[in-house]
Amino acid sequence: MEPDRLAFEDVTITYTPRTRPVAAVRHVTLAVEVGRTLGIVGESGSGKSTIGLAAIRLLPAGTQVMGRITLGDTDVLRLPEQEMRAIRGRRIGMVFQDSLAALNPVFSIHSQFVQTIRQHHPGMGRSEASRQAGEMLEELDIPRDRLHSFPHELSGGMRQRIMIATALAPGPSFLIADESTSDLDTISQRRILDLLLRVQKSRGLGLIVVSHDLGVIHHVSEQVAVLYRGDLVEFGPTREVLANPRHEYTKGLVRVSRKQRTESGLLYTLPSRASADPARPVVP
Amino acid sequence: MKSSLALPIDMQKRPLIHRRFWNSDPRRRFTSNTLAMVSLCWLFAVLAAVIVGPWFSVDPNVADVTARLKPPGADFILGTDQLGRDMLARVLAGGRVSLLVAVMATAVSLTIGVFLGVVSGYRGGFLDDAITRVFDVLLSFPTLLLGIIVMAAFGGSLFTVIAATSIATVPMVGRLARAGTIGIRPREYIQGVIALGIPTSRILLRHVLPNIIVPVLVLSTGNMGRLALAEAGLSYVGAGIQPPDASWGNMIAEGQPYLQYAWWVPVIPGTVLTLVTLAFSFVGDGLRDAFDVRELVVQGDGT
Amino acid sequence: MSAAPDRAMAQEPAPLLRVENIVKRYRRSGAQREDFFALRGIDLTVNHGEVLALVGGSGSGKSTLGRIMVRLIDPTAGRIWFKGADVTRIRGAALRAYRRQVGVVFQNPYSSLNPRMTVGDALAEPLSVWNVVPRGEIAAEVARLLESVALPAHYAARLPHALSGGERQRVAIARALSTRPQFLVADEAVSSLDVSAAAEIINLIITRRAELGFTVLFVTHDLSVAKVLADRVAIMHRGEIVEEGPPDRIFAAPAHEYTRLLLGSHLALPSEPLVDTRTQ
Repeated sequence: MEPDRLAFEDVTITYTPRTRPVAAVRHVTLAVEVGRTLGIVGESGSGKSTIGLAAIRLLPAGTQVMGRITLGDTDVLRLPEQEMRAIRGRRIGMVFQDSLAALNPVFSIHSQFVQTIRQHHPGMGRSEASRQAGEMLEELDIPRDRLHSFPHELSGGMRQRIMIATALAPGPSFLIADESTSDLDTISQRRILDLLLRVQKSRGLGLIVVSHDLGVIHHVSEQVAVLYRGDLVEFGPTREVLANPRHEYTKGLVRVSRKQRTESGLLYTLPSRASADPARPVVP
Repeated sequence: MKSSLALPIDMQKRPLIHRRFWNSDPRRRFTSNTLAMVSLCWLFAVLAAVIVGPWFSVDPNVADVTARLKPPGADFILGTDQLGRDMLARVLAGGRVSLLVAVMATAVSLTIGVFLGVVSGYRGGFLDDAITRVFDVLLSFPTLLLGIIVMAAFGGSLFTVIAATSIATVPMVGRLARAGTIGIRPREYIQGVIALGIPTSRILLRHVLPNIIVPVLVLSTGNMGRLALAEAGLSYVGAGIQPPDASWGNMIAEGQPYLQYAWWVPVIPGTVLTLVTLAFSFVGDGLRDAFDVRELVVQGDGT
Repeated sequence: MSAAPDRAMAQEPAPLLRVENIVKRYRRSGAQREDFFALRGIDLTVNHGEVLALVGGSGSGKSTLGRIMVRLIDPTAGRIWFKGADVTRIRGAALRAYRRQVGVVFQNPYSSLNPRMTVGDALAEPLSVWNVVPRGEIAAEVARLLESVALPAHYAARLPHALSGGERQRVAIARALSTRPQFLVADEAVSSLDVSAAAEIINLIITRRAELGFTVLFVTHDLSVAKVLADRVAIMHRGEIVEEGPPDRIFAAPAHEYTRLLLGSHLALPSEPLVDTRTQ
């Protein structure tokens, strides 16, 4: 049976740099089902990206993950690496922010894409893979005349589409988009997010969107998890959380995102890191 | 460097940079590289020996026909050559020449190569095209051939050997410096100082140079072995250091006929030369691996 | 601050910088490709003391225009006038002197400071090159500059990698303002930052401007940033300015199709309408 739920149970992730262990994420419990969308919001250093990477076990060596991350009934953290490969990409896809770094600069989009498909469907013929590639690129509104372009010849928005298509090629049930539209301008960002939502609905994906932008989160996700320096401070239905934030940090984040002004006429800001709790080091 | 701040900030800075180097990952990676560290120690030992040694050994050019081709032993630690000269003294004296050439040629090629590379990469346009073409032409000649041409034109002396080997190395250094400069020219921190109206010379010296120099220095270190080898090659074919003055190259050349029955005459300078060349390569490789990730340039603080 | 009432009282706006018919063409290599026009004949005036937001998508040419204004890029055609003087073709010392009067802050805080130079040295450099203060007072001025962007004085001894993105951007602003320029180009200066860090930088520009009175060209793709900061907005699309006007008018009644698309694409929280409903 296809796993229908990706869950994090009491997950604590600790980096071990040379000096001393730093907890990137502490006691986080959250979950997303297939066909649903979850937003993880936080500032840089909040550990929001760490969570996504932990699900596909792509954290740097020496990182300790405690708790359980389950995909259906499988505990991802206890799988041998061999079996993990059947999950990474195939069950849980990932789209990163930097599309230029993630695509191979010397191959055309088409050949990279066909390669990906054939990798995940061993035994598939070149022409069949090519046909499938065509279909998928169409699904993502990538014009056919762009197929034989090289990554650097495409706009950021177009590259992000390719990244999404590549992530979807193996037919995952879950997709994690980590700040995947942060480098794009307003219009492309909106288009890519709407595209993600469309694909999510048509394929019934479980979608996790990681972003620092509440506007993005509000647009795409049914549920939101707010991370502040490694702590999950709030988790619930997006509309409710943003309309009635309970935690001080979420309240502040909402005010900042709305560009509210203080009495002095300046924009509202969150207390700066320097003045925050020094016992909580910022994740590198 | 003439700093604009002869003030408290500057005073805090010096020990800081030193400590930063010592705590840096490249330093750590390098010192944990056994081969590179052994090579480095060997090079320092050779360097110390050729600097200090000749003061304590006999005159390397005094021949003693009564003591020709003596094998290594109690009287002569490394034996004597076909003219009865002390091999140890000659290896040390020859080493002075070889290492002097390597160090001087490196210094010269670094200075000229970095200057040309940085200026052409930064300026671009016609100047860049011209300098690049000259580099290409020079690079298309084998080092030895280039050396022989220079020696043929100006005669064999220490100075011309250094000049000849430098000319062959300048384009390698220059190309690397140019590539680095072109890579960082569009970076915002360079554009930023241009936009502040900082004079170009200062931009090149304080902003471009420190950010491109590491790979250039790494390359030059690895190259020093090749330069010592080039000197030996030139001397070997008779275009370099002229007998009776010793050089590892002409020692090998002169000793070659005796390989059958007095192996030590060519083999000892040859072995030392090989070990020195290898050691430079290993140190160069170690530095390259140590600095490969540009540690001091932090990419970002992604979560 | 960009209070609208001031503008109503102000007399005829005096142009500080004006570009006329600016064209920037990039030659394309390859057989059948035609040249790429980043800018197709731009006319734009930046008035004394105002904050002009230049809004557009990526590839619209907005950053190119900003860089042409401060002469980091040469235009293919057209003219740049600064305080009535033609600065399009000045070179050498005159160009450096011009650059002293204008400042730039770039987008990427991670590449906008020399990674091998301490914050103190980076700030001291323009001070000593331009003799902004006597040599003996440079250290004190560096401390003042840091303070002006709300950074502690001991940051002077730090290297950029020890600073957060927002902190680096503050240093970049302090440095750009160290020569006391009359014109500041902020090229997507807050786009790579977290929302709160971005708000801090915007506040900083507001407060520094209130004190020093420089003129700002704020290049951005984010309309909401333009909304809170700008006295005037110019919308760019494909190398042309498609619309220009006061923010209230542009957000309430966008005239150009592209502006409408921009406004429609903006992702906002429910009670954050882009149309200005600022309460007094």
